[in-house]
Amino acid sequence: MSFVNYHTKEINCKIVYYGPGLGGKTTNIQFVYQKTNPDNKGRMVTLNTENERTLFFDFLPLDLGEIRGFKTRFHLYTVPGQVFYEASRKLILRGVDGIVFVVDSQVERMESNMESLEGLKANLIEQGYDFDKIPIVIQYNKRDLPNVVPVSELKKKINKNNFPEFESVASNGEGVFETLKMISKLVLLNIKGGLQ
Amino acid sequence: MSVNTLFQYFFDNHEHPFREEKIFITRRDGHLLFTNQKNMDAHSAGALISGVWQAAHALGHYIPGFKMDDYYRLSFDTSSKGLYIFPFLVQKDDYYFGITYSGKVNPGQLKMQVQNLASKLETFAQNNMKKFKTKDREGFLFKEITDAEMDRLFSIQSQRT
Repeated sequence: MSFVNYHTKEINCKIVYYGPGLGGKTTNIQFVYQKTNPDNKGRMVTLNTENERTLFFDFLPLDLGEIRGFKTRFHLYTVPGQVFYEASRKLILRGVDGIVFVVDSQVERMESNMESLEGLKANLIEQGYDFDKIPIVIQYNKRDLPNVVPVSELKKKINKNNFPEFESVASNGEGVFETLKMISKLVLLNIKGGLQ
Repeated sequence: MSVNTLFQYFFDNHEHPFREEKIFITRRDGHLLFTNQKNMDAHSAGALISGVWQAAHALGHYIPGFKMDDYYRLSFDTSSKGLYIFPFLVQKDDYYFGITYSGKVNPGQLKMQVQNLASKLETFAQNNMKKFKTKDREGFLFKEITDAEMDRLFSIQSQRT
């Protein structure tokens, strides 16, 4: 849940990158980390296994600067994508303000994408969120690979709610900041508490 | 209620024994609400404290006779240094008081001091809720956000290739 301090004019929000294992969630925030000025980021936390699969979560705090007098800080998290880490994913989703669903565009990963999406819906509902109202952006990643599903088909199967969507190649950064910028905007627009 | 303002005020105006230790107070979702550290790394510590607590709490279901409202705290330590996390409540919301320390002959004493301070903080919050209560606001904070505003926010990108 976003945290707004009207006294110090600070906004803190939580964005979670969700999706099937090896889809590019960690790659997304690693790219953000590499390309962000040192003054605007904190220490990136990666809790992973020996072969660099996310074990618990990745975390990156970003100071985005000011918007209308409010200093904005975003906390980016990734969840572990492997199926048996469901309990961890539930914990990390707590208090989420916006979600980037990272789709692995490869043909053979379609079932995993759908399974992960259903899991996301179930976890959000369990925590009292409305899937139709929480800010979500869909990222169709790995568009550079030869065996990818056409975006039109991915859209039909995955983005039935018509969330904002972006194509990406997270490994070289394509689409990474565009995705992050959109989810950040949606999260900011969704913050309750009008100015008096 | 602006809890982080409350916490800041408390630490600014109350004596406590933790001058060399690092203090982190986080919310359940990992947001850091108070620290005596001046750098952004503290936010990472906040996320970790919340994460490790929640993972431990989830594992608690494997403890015979576990109850959700049992009085737990979490330590990761040697005989003289470590991390201690102590949960406390403000207006029925969970917060975690995390502290890292080193060179302690009696870490048990430090842990008692943390518990005492957290208790004082709970009492202070209870007695001063009105003072730090923010006005109820309706609607959304931002009505519209332009592309130019978003571009300015994201001028954080490094110029290095």
